[in-house]
Amino acid sequence: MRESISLEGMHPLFQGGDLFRLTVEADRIAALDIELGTHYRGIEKLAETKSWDQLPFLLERICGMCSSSHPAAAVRAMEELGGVPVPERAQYIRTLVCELERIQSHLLWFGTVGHNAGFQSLWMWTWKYRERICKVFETVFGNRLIPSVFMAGGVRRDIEEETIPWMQESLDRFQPALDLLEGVLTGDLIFGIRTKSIGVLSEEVVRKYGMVGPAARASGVAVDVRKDDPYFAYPWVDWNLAVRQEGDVYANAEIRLFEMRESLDIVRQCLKQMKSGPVRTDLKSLPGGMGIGRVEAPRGELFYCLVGDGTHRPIRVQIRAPSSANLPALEESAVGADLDDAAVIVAAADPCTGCAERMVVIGRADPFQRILAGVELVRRSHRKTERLRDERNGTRIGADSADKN
Amino acid sequence: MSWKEIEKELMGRFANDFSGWNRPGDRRIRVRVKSESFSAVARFLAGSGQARFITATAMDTLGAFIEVWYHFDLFQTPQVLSLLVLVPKSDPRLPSITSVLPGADRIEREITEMFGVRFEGHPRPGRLLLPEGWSRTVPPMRKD
Repeated sequence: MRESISLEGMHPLFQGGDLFRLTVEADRIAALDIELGTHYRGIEKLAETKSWDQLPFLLERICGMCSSSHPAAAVRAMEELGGVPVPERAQYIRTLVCELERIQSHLLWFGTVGHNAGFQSLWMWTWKYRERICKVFETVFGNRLIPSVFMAGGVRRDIEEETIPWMQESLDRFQPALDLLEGVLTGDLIFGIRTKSIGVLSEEVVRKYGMVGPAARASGVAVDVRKDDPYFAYPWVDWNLAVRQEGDVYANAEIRLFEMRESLDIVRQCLKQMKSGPVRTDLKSLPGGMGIGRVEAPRGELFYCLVGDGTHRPIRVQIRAPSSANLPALEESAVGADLDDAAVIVAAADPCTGCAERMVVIGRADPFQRILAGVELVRRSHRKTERLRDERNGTRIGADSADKN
Repeated sequence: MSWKEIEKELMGRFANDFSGWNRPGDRRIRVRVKSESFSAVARFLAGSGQARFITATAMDTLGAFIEVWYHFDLFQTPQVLSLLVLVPKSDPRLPSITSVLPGADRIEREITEMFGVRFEGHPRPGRLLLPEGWSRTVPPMRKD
């Protein structure tokens, strides 16, 4: 039997409300259609009413997870447009903020994937450790998730010298989180079964849709703006890029774990290497013309195109978020998957609709179609994990009794 | 094929279709392309395997044209190639490149909704971001 399921509602699975229309045949996904429009806020238009100085404050509210990547890309575009020099210390602080943001965003990914796969303790532990990163933001910059650090020509806030030892200590206290995740990846058989060979994206599909970020790197495509178009302090610190070939959810997890270790290392290097000095140059005005800024946000390349006419505000702000590039491929990769795995596949694709749509809820479900809340899909996934656990325990009991006999 | 070779071939093949090739900084290349030859240029870039379509930027600068910039990331270089195509407001049409570059699907639909530029040959045109039944005739991002 062929039936259509509309998935909607607010749920941690989506990190935002949107509409996923699944066509299912015998509990296998035959088609997936992602409908945008539920989050449209018209921020690109609103941005044209802000001055250059006000712009980062608006842009960092596009997305709670990438609240630093958006203004980071925008200030890169502004600096390209105006040829604004940036002090070295400011570049280190910017890098540090972007990498801390990457860690908390990747932890969120582990949390949602863990929750959707039926690993509730993994979800709770990642949330606990993520709070330590948020605490660093709060203590150093005054806000847990929106630090408001970026401005064209530098940063708004300096890091006080006496705070640095506390930051280093906080990073050391965070280290066990990574060891915990390593243990889940290497030691939990059920996590392996639920994620290996699930939601596989081939290199061909990645190249076809121009995918970016960890999703592309998990499928063998080494794209990373930090390496391809180096910016901030990335050329001055040592770090490695991870690439996997498998393209499944497990490879995505490995990539993100590796990246968190690298990010932690980058933050430590920044704290060690940065010398005292100015943190901003005054920006008088920007000339007319176009500026392009791109940064590696936690989900991949975030692209900004800003156009000015020589006045105090932009005449066009174009935003291409990484989820916009990655979501279309999900429509292709989900086909053929077991409905029980849909929750894991969707969570692993890291859909950030706030970014992708920059978009007020429009109810658009066909009354003749089955409406399934995200939570029901997650329940199906949980039941699969429980089934696998029972089977495994049963096998072990069987093996034990065989030994005894 | 390296980007240098591709650049040479692009200049050789499409010499009459390009105008105003300029480099604002060492990481950006900007060039204007005639709208009728743009799809051939896009096909060439897609086939080269050395460029990734990032997105397209449409803007209304209050003139007779809508500017549409297509941005490509060039592999193994830190450069972004931006191709400008001018679309007359009197007849806002452009050939769709979605069949060649599937990543252009949503941005072409967005430009159609927001700026009223029709992309001919788009495989699934239709509503993307605006509410169903949006009845205003002037697209919301147009300034005229």
